[in-house]
Amino acid sequence: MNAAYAPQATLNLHARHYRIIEDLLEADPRRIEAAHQEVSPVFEETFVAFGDPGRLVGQLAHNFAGRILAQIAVPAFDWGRRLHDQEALRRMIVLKREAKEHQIAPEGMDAFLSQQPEDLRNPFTGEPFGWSAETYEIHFVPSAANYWKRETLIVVY
Amino acid sequence: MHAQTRKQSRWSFWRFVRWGLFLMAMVFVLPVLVWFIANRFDESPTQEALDYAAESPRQVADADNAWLLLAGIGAAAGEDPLVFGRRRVDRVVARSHESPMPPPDAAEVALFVDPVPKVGPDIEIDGVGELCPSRDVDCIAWARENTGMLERLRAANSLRLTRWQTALTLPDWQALYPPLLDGPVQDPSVATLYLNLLALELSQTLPFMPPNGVVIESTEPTTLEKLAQTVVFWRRVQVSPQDLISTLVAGRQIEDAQRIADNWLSMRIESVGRVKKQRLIKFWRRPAGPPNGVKRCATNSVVFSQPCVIRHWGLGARCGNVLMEPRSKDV
Repeated sequence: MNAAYAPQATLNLHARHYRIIEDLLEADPRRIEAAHQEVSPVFEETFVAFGDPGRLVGQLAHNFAGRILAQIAVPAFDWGRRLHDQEALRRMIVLKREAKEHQIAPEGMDAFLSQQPEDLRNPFTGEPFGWSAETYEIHFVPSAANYWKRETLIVVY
Repeated sequence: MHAQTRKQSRWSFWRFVRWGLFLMAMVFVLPVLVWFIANRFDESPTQEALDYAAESPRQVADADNAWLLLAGIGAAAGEDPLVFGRRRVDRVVARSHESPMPPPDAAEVALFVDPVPKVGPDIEIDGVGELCPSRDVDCIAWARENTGMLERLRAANSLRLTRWQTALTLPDWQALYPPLLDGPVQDPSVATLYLNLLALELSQTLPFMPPNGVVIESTEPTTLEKLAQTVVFWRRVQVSPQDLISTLVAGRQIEDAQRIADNWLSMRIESVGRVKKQRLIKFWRRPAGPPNGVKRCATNSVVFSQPCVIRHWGLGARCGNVLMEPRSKDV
């Protein structure tokens, strides 16, 4: 045992963090922002409070090294958002295929997209995907914009 | 009397010094002592920690593990890539068990030199230095424009590509390298090259397509089935418990395959109705399980493996984020 490291306390923290991460990854994308809001205070409570000297002293008293280890083991980014975006892209390609199969004219695409069931809509909002009548594009604003390095994902009709 | 007073004041002085030293020691030493003693006591395991600790990594047989084949895909001709991959894994795992962990020795460095090396795009030879940037261009059109390069890469990587096709038939995927900062990283570029070659094959069928799309029954379905096979393969990887890198690689490969299918749709849409739908259904099928295939992948036994945390002090992020063993209950 290290002077500032308590193994089981560290594993307990790990477990707590990962339960939260699991919940976030399993959250319905339509309420993913709310889910993040809900877990944020838990992370605030367990992370090292460098900005709060009073709490920092308390945290220094026990398992400080373990607390840091547990903290840096929390993934730095939410890859679940990326996968939800990829699911949106899949849905848009499916819609393109369906529309082509049914010979939907570009003018009718707005209505066509509006008629789609839940599992062929924007996974984050439940709304129909966007349609650009000028460029003939089905589009969607991704949640993991930093990863995609673009503001919208498009599928050209 | 005078001497006695002097003696008393000297005694008072030394008593003052002794008490002063004692108090100073208490001020500085006591907190350290308390802190040290406090850290000698650990917490009891929480129920969450017990739950995670009770889970053991699933066991994937080498013969079923496409990841292992990819690890050994550069094996010499005639050597089983699964065996070659296993040798690499064993070597790295053995080193990771030494304490302190040594850097890779010459034998390990040599083991990670591929007897059948990867050949990639060469800007001096091909005029382009990368494979199709699928998010920016139509890969089928791009493949047609870069036929020369892709054919060169197909020939130069023929054995690796054949092995990759074998990997696509294997039922499972499990990363086996331990979580090391200087550890080897799996290179999935052969999978990307394979997709580029499928795009090339699709581009080669297009000029011969009559307007009614009947030709689709000749060569295209084979290529499309291969494309669908890759999607099915990576989806299987994605929905089973994996390390994060595998999850992300799988997502990108699926996306690339679907974009190629989308490019194909754009060109061939008039014949889509004639395509045997069961052949293509795999592209469009909703992923099995939750849409977010990383369900529970964040948790794993490596994170909860005490030796990992202790031995790789400071590598908690690596243990937690990068190389994660799967959870048995998801198998």
